[in-house]
Amino acid sequence: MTDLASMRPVRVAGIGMHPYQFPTETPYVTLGLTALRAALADAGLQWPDVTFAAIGTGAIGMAAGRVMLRHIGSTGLEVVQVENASASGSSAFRMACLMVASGQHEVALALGVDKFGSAQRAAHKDGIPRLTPAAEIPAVKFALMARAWRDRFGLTREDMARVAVKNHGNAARNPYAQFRKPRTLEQVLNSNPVAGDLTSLQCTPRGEGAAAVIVASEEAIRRHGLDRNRAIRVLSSVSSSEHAVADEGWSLVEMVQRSGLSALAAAGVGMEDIDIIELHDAFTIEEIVYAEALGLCPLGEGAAQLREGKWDIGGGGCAVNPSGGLLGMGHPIGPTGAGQIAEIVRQLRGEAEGRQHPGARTALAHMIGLGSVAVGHVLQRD
Amino acid sequence: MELRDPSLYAPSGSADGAVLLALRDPASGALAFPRTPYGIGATGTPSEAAEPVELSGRGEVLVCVTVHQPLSPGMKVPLLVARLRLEEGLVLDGIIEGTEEPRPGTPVRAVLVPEDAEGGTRLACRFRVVESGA
Repeated sequence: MTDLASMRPVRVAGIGMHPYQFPTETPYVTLGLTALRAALADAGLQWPDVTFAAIGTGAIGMAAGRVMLRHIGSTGLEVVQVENASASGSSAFRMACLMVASGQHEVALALGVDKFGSAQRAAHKDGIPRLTPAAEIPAVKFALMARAWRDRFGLTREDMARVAVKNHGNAARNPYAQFRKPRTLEQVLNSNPVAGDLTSLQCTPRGEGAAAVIVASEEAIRRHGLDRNRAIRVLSSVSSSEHAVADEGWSLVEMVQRSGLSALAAAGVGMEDIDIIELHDAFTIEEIVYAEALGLCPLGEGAAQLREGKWDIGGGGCAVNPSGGLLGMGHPIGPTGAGQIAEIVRQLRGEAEGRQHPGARTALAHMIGLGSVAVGHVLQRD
Repeated sequence: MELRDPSLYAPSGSADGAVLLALRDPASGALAFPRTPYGIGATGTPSEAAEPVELSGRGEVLVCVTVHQPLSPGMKVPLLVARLRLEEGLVLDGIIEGTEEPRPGTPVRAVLVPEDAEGGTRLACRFRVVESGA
């Protein structure tokens, strides 16, 4: 399989966001175009310079891209819509990267946008009744995971709650985040019980928003006179789905591990080189389990690292979810993966005002989606 | 009384016990639950080439949690949801009777219990803790 490292270099030239927020009457077009215009301004590009757009969305509906983009100009560009559940934005970014890396396009856009409420799940249309549909509800599924990890590794309620404290704290410093309040351990633990040991502040909120990322070839960066120092290199891009494993049904964790390690290997870096990880923390347990699976620390030691502040911004190690993650920044589905890239680019440029992780050079964006699917990217500043 | 999901389970013939309706690949012995028209995912065997089998409904709890909030329309809480390993080796998720979370390793068996639903009362499959000596 050909990986990004063996193709033309791809760099992120521009990023833009519409803040994530609780559901409103704002049309998705406003959300998306706000992010797009911000990304064009950030890059110093004009809309006609972009010749490819991948629109990541889970709930907007057919032809979301054209309906939105015609308001900024019908330039004849190639437009595709990407739906890959929670990883829709990540997959849109991957597609934009591959379009530039392969030489199909010089400047490509990945834009994630979503409104809450109208997504339909294919799993509800497969014609198969379930013994208990409750177990397929994400909060229940991850409450089961949390309990299994408690039984196996002695993970406590407080250990999990510390993920929410950290990520809500990071989100409070992120102007694009849905939640802007720091939370104490007591507030997290005493918020409404949802399922198992998960409380409401340990679950991602429902919301809407948009994130845009513009990628460009080296040639395009030269031709358009863009600032190469702010153009962050994309070292690798991987995408996969679950393998069946005989491990009490936690094949999701194996998938995260396999895809994360594959992203690092394709980039030619190791976990020790990673300064920042943005990962799928829709529920607190996920951050601990996935960080361990990705090799950030040995199995069973994530809780201790959290307690010691090693995953904090400026904690002396790899900052995990400096954006606030899905828990704090939010998880509007389509934008989420593209928003991870935007945060990482901001961090690697040294422009994450108020939440800058010192010395950040290399970062991993890792996203999973219902199904399950996984998408990973490694980015690095020169 | 009618079964809520007759394609998933059937009376075992012993009191309120239930068996689960599965498919087996004759070549490898691989199982799939529930029976679907799509075949056996583990081996790619089409359903026409698979044989219908009944699973005992007996197994053990791997992990169990209480759902505190009604997370879907009509959900009654508190609700015990568990990941179980059946004695035939399959891992699946089911609802445990009662409100007390069983510990990992607790033996359970499938039973049919009346459940009120739209359209009347039907028999639904739950898992009941097997008391020691039972």
